[in-house]
Amino acid sequence: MVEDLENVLDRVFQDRAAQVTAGSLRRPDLGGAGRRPLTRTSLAALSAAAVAVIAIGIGVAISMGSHARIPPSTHVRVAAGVPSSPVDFSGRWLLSSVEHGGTRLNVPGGLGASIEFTAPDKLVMSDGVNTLFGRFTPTATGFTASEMGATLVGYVGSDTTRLTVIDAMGSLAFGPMTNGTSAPRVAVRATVDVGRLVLAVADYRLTFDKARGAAHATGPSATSHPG
Amino acid sequence: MTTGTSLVDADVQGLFRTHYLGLVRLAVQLVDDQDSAEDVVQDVFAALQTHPRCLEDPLRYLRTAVVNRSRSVLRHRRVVRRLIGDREREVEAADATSLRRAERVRVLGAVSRLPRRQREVVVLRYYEHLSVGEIGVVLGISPGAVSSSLTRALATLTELLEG
Repeated sequence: MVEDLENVLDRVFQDRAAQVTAGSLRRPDLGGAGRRPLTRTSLAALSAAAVAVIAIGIGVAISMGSHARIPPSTHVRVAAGVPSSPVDFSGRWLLSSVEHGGTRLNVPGGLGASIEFTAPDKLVMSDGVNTLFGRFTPTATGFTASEMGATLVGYVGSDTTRLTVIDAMGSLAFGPMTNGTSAPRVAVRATVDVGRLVLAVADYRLTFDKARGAAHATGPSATSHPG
Repeated sequence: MTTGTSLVDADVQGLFRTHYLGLVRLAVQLVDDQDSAEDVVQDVFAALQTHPRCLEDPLRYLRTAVVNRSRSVLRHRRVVRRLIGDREREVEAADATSLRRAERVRVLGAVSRLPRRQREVVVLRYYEHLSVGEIGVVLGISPGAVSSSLTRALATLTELLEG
C-alpha cells in the first residue's frame, strides 16, 4: 500500500512538473522583467498589507499605553467580562529560546523577536521579520489568540534560527499550519516564573525574558505575580 | 565558479540558466501555482545577486532557499485568505473532469493538507528523490526528524486518500 502511494506521489509530482515547461515560463529571464501585473488577488493582498500596516499603527499607539494619547478615532474595547488568568503575562517579553522536537535553540536578542500584551486585549508580536498582531483572551491555562493579522514581508534566507523563530511565532499567532489555513483561535499555554514567560503551542515551547525598562501596561490578569 | 569565493554575476546567471526550470518545478509542488513558483525562484536569484555569498553546493543552497521562500509565500497566502477568502482551490477542484486529472487533484489536495514540514519532506523525497540525509541537510533537521515526518505524512495521506 505504501509502495503504491509512493508510486502515485511520484507520478503525480512528475505530472505536475511536466506542465511547467520552458515555453510556459512567464519570467524566463533573470531579473524583474515579466513580473506579474497586479491582479485582483495581488491588489487584495496589497490591500491586506495596507490594513495590516494601519492596524500595526493602531497597535503601536495602544502599546505605548500612558506614553501616547490614543487618537480619538481609535476605538478601544472595554475589558469588562474578559476572564482573568492566574498568570500575569502583561507587558513586553523578548524571545530567548525555542524548543521543538526535543531540540532547544537559543535565540539571540539581536534577532528582535518579542511578544507584548497590552490592555485590554491587544497582542503584538515580532518574529524579527514581520509584525503579527491581534487580540488575546486570558484563559485558565494561558490565553487564546484571535483575529490575528501580520505584515507581509518575505524572508529570503536560510538562517535556521530565524526560520525556526518565524515558524514558532507564526504558530503562536495562527496555530500549526494545516490545510493551508490557520485556526481562527489559537489556545496557548502560559506560565510565568521570575521574569520568565514560557508559552507552549502545538509542539513548540517558547521562552521569553521580561523586557527591561518596558512600559508595564495594565495587564489582563487579576493577580499580580512578579513578571 | 570557484568553491569558497563569492559568486559573481556571471556565476548567478549560469546557475539561473542551469537550474531555473527545475527549481520552478520544485516550487510549484510547494506553492501550487506556477506564477507564484516563478516569483519564488526569481526572488531567490535576486537575493543571490544582491547578496553574493560563498556556496560549496549551489544546488543545495538553491533548494533550501526555494523551500524557505515557499514557506513565506504560503504564510502570506494564509494571511490573505483570512482577510479576503480564497476561491482558486474550488475552481481547480470543480474543473477536474478527466480521471487522471481527478487523481492528481485528489492526491495534490491531500498533500496540501499535510503540515508544512511533512509536505516539504514528501516533495523532496518523491519529487526530488533525495535521500533522508539529503532532505535533512536541505531542511536543516536531523535524519530522524525527516524519517518520522515522512512516516507520519504517508500515514496521513493514506488515511486521507482512503477516507
